[in-house]
Amino acid sequence: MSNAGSDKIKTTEFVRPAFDSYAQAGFFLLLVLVPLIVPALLDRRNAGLEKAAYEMVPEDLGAFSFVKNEIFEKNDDLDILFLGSSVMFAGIDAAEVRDSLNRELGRPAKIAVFGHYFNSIDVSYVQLRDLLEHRRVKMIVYSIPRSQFTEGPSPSGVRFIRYNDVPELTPELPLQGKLSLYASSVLNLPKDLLSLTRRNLEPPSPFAEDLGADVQQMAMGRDVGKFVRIEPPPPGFEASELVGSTDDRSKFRFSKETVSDYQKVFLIRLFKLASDKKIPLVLLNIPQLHEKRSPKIIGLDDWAREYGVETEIIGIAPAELFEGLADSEIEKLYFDERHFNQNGNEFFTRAVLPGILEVFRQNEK
Amino acid sequence: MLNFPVYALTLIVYVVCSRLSLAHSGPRTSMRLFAAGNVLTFGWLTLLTQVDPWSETTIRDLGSSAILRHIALVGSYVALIAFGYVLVRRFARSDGGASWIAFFYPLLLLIVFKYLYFLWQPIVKIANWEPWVLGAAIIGLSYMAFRLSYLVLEVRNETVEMPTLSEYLGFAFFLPTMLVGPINPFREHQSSIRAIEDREIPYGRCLMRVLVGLTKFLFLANLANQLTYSGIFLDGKPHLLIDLGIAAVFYYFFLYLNFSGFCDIAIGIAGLMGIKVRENFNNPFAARNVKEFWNRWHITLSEYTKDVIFTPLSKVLIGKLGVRHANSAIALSIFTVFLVIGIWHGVGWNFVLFGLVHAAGVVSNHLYTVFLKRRLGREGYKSYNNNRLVNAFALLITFAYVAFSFSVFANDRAMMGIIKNAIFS
Repeated sequence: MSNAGSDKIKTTEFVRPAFDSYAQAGFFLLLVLVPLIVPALLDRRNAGLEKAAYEMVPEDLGAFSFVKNEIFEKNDDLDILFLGSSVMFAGIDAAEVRDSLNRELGRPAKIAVFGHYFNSIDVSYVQLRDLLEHRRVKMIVYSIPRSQFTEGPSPSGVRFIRYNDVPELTPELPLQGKLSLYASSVLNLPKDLLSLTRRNLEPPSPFAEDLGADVQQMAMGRDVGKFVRIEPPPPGFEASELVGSTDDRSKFRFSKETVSDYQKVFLIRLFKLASDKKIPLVLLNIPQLHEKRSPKIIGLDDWAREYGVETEIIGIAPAELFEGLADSEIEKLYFDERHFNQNGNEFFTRAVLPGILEVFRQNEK
Repeated sequence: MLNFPVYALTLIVYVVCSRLSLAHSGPRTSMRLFAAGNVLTFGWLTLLTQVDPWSETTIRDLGSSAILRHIALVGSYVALIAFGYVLVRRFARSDGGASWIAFFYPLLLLIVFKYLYFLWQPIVKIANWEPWVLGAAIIGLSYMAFRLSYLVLEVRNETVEMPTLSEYLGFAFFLPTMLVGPINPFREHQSSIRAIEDREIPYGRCLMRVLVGLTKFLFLANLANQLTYSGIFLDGKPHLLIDLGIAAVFYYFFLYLNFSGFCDIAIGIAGLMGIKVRENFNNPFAARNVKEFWNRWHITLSEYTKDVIFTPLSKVLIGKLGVRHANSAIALSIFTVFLVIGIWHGVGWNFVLFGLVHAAGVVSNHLYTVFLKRRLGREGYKSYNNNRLVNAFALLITFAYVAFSFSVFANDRAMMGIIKNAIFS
C-alpha cells in the first residue's frame, strides 16, 4: 500500500488550491457551463427527440408510453379524448365508454385516456398539443385538477417538459416558473443527451388494454389486500340532469382555490388550443370523497366565466350521485380522498355516460 | 429545502464562532469553547434532520418529548465518547496490551451501534421510537471511530501530546470531517490549532475550495446521478446492455463528485478556521492499477488501514510464515485490509464483495508486478512502465475495473434483480 502515484500530494501545504493548473480550472468551468447552457440551445422537437420525450418518463409517473403510441403510431381520428391528471386517469372506464359508443355509432369507436399521476395541467397541455399535431380529435373531455398546484413544473412535468418544448408559451410564464422549468431542463440534460446517442426501449404499455386508463393497475400504492369489490347499481340519470353550464348557479359551488400562475398559463392555452382547432371541449366534474353528501357540484373555479370559454360541464351533485349508498359503501368506491378505485371507476363512468354520449351526439350534428 | 437557509446560517455562525474561540488567548478556554461549539452544533444539526424549525407545530413542541429524547440521546453519545477519553488517559501509554483497550473502544462502539443494531431494536420498540431516531443521534460514528482509534496509536507512539478532554471532544466532534471524513489524524488537527496564531489563513483559497466542493456536491454530482444505476434502471422500462456500462461509468463519476465535493467543503471550512485537514483525493481517474487507485481515492482511509492493519499484520505474518512466503503474507494482509474496508462501508454482503473485488485487484497487481520484475529485470520493468501504450491500456483497464466494482457497492440484491430484469427480460 505504498504511495505508487507518481504525482504525490504536497502534504506540507496548509490548504491545496482547488485546481493544480489553469487547464484544470478551465476544464472544470466547462463542465459547469455546458449543462447550464445546452438546455437553452437544445430543441428536442428539432433534434429528433419528440418521441424520446415520452419514452424518458418513468412508467410510475403515468401512461406516457401509451400516450406516445396514440400520438405517434396512429393516424386515425379519435372520437373522444379523456384528458386530465390522476383523478381522470383513475376515474374513467374508457372501455365502457367505447362499448357504448360502438353501439351508438355502429362502428368501432376510438377512445383514449391521457392521464398521469400528480396534479398537473402542463403535462396535459403538451400531450394535447402533440396529439393535435398528428391526429384529429372529435371531442375532448377534460377534468381540471383541483388542488396542490406547484409554482413551477408539476412533478410529472419536471420529468416530461423541457424549456424549449413549449416556445409558444414560455414568454407568458412567470419568472419563477420559467427558472424552475429551465432548472429541470438542466437536471434532465444527461438523459436527453443519452437519448440522442442510443435508442430507448419501450415496453408494451400496461395501460393499453384499458385505453390509457388506470383501472386494473392497482396503482399509486393501493393496498390490494384492503380492496373490497362492490358493484352498486349505477344511478340512472338522464343526460339533461348531467349536462349543464355554470350559468345555472344553483347547481354549483366553487371552492375558490386558485391555480398557480404557472399552471394557469397552460390551462388558458389548453382551452385556446381546443378552441383554435374547433374541437368541442367539455369539462367533467369528478367528485371527491369528502364531498359525498354535497347537494351542489363543487369545482375549483368558474373557468367558463374566468376565461370566457364556452364549455359545457358534465357532472352531478355528489348527494344525488351517491343517493341510497351508505357512507361505508361510498368509501369502498375510492382509493383515497380524491381518486376512485375500480369500483368507483365503473360506478361513476356508468353514471355520467348518458351525459358524455349526449354531448358527443350534439357535436356530431 | 426549507431547512437550507437554517443549515447555511448555522454553518456561518459555526465557522465564525469556532474561529473566534480558537483565536482566544487562553488555550484552555479556547479549547473548551471550541469543543462546546462543535458538540452543540452537532446536536442542533442532528435535531434539524428531525424537525422543521419553520413549522408552527415544532415551535409548539419545543421541550416536547421528541426534542428531550434527542437531547438525551446526543448527551449519551457525548458521554460514551468522553468515556473513550478516560480510557485514553488510563491505558494509551500503558505497557503491554492495555493500550488496545483504548484503541478498540471506539471501534467497539461502531460495531455495537452500526453492525449489531438488532441489539437495540427491542429498546427502540419498547420506547416506541421511529427506526431512524437512534441513527440520527449517532451520525458520523464510522469516521469518528477510526479517527479516535488512530489517536490512541498516536498518543501511544508519542507522536502527539496527551490531549485534554476539550481537545479530545473538539477533535471527535469536529463537524467538517464528521460525516464523510477525511480521516484526519489528531497530530494534524492538534498541531494546526497550536500554530494558529502564527499562520496566515488563505481565506480566498479556502473559500474557493468550499465553492468548488459545493458545485461538485450539489450540481455536478446530481447531474451524474441521472445516469447512475438508480437514475437509469428505476424507470420500469426495458434497457439495452450498454446502459449497464453507462450506469457503471456515471456511478463512478457520481461517487467521485459527491465524495470529493464534500471533502473539498470540509477541507475549505476547516481551513477557514485555521485547521488543516488532509487531502482525501488525488485524481483517481489517473490511476494505472487498483493499488494506485487506493492511493488516490479516499487516501486517508488507505493510510489508516495501512498503518493499523496492513503493516502490523504483514509483519506478523512474514515473521510467522518466513520471508519465503512473503508474497502470501502480503496477499493475506491485503485481503484482510479490504475485507475491513468493505465491511466498514456498510452492512450487507455486497459491501463484503466490494472489498474482496478490490483485494483481488490489488493482490493481482502485486503478483503481476513481482512477475514482471523477475521476467523483465529492473531496466525492462522501468521501460515497460514508461511505455505510453501500456499506460493508456492500464488507465482504461483500471477505470473499467473500478467502475464495475462499484456496481456491487451501489446495488443490493433487489436492485440487481431490477437491473437484470430491465436488460434481459
